[in-house]
This record gives sequence, structure tokens and C-alpha cells, in this order.
Amino acid sequence: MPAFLSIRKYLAVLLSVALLGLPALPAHAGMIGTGQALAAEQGRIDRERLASLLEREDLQRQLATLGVDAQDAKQRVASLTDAEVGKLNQRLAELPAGGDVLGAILLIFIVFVITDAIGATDIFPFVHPVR
Amino acid sequence: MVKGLCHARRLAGFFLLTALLAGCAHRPPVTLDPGTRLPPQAELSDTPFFPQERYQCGPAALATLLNVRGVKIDPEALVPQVYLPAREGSLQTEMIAAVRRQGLLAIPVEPSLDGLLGEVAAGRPVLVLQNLGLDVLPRWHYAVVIGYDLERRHVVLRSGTEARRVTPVGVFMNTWNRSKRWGFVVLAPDDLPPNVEPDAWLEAASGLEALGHWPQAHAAYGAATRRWPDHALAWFGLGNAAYALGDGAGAEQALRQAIQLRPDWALAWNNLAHVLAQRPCPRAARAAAQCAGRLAPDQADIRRTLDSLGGLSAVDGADCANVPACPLP
Repeated sequence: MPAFLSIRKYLAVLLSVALLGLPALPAHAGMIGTGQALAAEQGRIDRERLASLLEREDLQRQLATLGVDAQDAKQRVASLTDAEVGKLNQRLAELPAGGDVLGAILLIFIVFVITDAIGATDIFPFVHPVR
Repeated sequence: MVKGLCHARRLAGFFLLTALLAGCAHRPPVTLDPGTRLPPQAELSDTPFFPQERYQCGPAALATLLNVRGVKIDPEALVPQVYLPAREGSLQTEMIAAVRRQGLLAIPVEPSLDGLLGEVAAGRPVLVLQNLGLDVLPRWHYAVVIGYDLERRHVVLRSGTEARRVTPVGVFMNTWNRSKRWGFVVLAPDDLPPNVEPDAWLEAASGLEALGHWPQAHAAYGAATRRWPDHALAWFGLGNAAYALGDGAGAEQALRQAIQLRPDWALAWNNLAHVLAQRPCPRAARAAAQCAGRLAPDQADIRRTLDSLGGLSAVDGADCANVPACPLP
């Protein structure tokens, strides 16, 4: 497995280098993006372009593992900035994902009815906090 | 419903002391800054409502804010952009990226009740992340704050399947505190409200730039240079966007402005060099590249610029202006 990965990475680097050398690059090659300037300004680490390509591929795989369609995962990663890719890559598992309001088993149900009633939580629309 | 409510209250009476001793609900009372000047009541009733499907409050809340800004999109179309099936929810970062994909700016809300209600009072609904549960039993949820009433001490939300959820301010703050008061408003690139911080705006604008939404990025940087004419980074962004849109003269002018404000900024000299090379003004481009190289000799991007532009012809056309004096001769 590690051998397989390293070959993949090697190929990715080779391919990226080949792509960078192609004449079909956009007209603004050599221009430094405002995002990069802003990151340097704020003292954030200046990511190397190739590293970020690999990271994007990695994140794409992670999203697909979490049930995102492969094509969608590609587009989703493409709409992230380098800094965002770095953050998600490192912390995808622990970041909160908003969405779950309904699922709750009985014990949790009771706990939340109580905490709702004292105004600490706001799970059930039919429970209003006691004044 | 009423029965459930009564039941809940009896239970609550029984357990209230224990819970309070455990400290899980004890927070100081919610008060507004004394200096705050807010209308006593506001509600953005025109805000559309998209009832969420199971777990999909992210797409629903997002669709609400996008439609407010004139993007006709329903939650269904946003599911492939932000929903994570295995996590049964949506990540904050991807919510922001989805706004960017529409060519709009997601600007973080000031993390205070005053900041939040101020946005609503100014006509801007706010997408918020709440933890409706507890830190140990999180129930993450996105909703849209569309109104408040200071007298009755409540906020009004488009939330889940409820078009108009009225929540006491104290309860809302408990749930919002747990997300470290995370939220954002969605703005059009040419609509820069007075309370926005330069870094937040420029960060969002650079996100549009990175996605290749050049006309929108140009508009956002343009708005920034008008609001903060002394902010070199705003001019830098405007130069980049103008260049990408084929406006060489506009790009040159904007980058010269950035350099005038920060003469020792190697990145601005670097970009000016590329713009001048394209004009074409090879002599001026070479001078700009050499200045960038003197200011930041170790930076890889700038070394590449020197390699490609350092050997340009020493003769400019008639309508090429000299570059400003380099701070390192």
C-alpha cells in the first residue's frame, strides 16, 4: 500500500510539473494571487503549489469516502481556497457538521427535554423554557 | 403538544436544581451593549423559506440567503455542493465555498448579539450555526436569523421545518455560544456595508478571484478601494482582477497605487512587472522585476519572474511611463 501510494504521488508530481510547463497556461501566470498576498500578510504559511495539488486529491478522496459523488467531490474541492483545503484535510473528522436535529434515542430524548425546559438547549419545538 | 409541554415542565421542576448545580445551564443574563442603537423590533418577513429535508438544514439555510440575493436556487440543487451523507450534515467551510461558487461573498458576522441583531436591523438575514444540544451531545444545526424583538426578548428564525421559529434570546445565545457564535451574511460584490472589516471583505474577494469569478472579484476590489483608499491590498487585488479581465491600463494604474502606498512590497512590484511586460513596456517591466528581486531575493515566485522578465529589451514604447524609484537601489 505505501509503495502504491508513493508511486501515485510520484506520478501526480510528474503530471503536475508537465502541466505547469504547458504553454496553455492562463495569461496571468507569474502573477501572485491576492489570496496568497493576504496569507503572507497575516503570517500564514505559504503553501507550495504541488503540495496543495496532492492535498486536494487527498481531500477529494476523503469526501468520496463520506458518501459524496466523485464528480461532486471534485467540484467541491475546486471551490475551496488552499488554506481551506489544508484545514479540512487535517480536521475533517472532528469539525462540526450542521444538520442533525431529529435523531435522538429515548435517553437522549429525556435529557434534552429537561435541558430544553431550562433553556440550555433548543431541540424540541414543543418544549418551552420555564421562566 | 400541550401535554408534552406540561410534562416537560413538571420534569423540569424536578431536575432543575440538579441541572443548575451541574452548571450546564448557568450563564450570565444576556444584555446588549449600552451604546447599541437598535430599533426595538425588526423582522425581514420577505425572506423566503425552504423547509429542510431530514438532516439537510445546511442546504435549506443556504438557499434562503442565496435567494435573498437574487440567486434562484433551491436546497435540492445545493445538496451535492454542501451535504456530507456520512456525517449527516454540512461543514462550515463548504457552506462558505458554496456562496463563493455563486459569485457572492460570505462575510462573517461579528460574534455578539449586538452584531447579529444589527445585521438584521440593516435588512440582512444571518445564517448561523447553532448547537441545539450540549457540548457532550452536540446537535449541530444551521438556521437563518430574520428578526428580533427587544421588548419581548426573542429572536425569529427560519429553522428546519419551521418558517417562523420564535426563540427566547437567552436560549438562542446558549445554542449560538456553542458554535463560538459562528455565522455569516451573504453580500453582492458591489454591496459593501459600512460595518464590514477590510480583511474579511478582501478575504472573501480573494476567494472569488481564486475560483476565477473575475468580474465579481473586480467589483469587490473596486468597492474596497473606494471604501479604504489607503489599503494597498485592495489596490493589489484590483490590479490582479483588471489584468485577468484584459484591462492592462487599469491593472497598471491599480498596482502603481499599491506600490505608492507600500513602496517596499515585493509582491506588488512582481505583479506590476508582469502587467508591464504585457502592455508591452519591456524596459519598465524589467526594472519592476529587478526591484521585486532586490526586495525579496529568496522568494521562489519572484526568482521565476526575474528569470522570465529580467532579460527583456531595454527600450520602451513612447507611451510607457517609468516605474517609481525602487526603495532598494
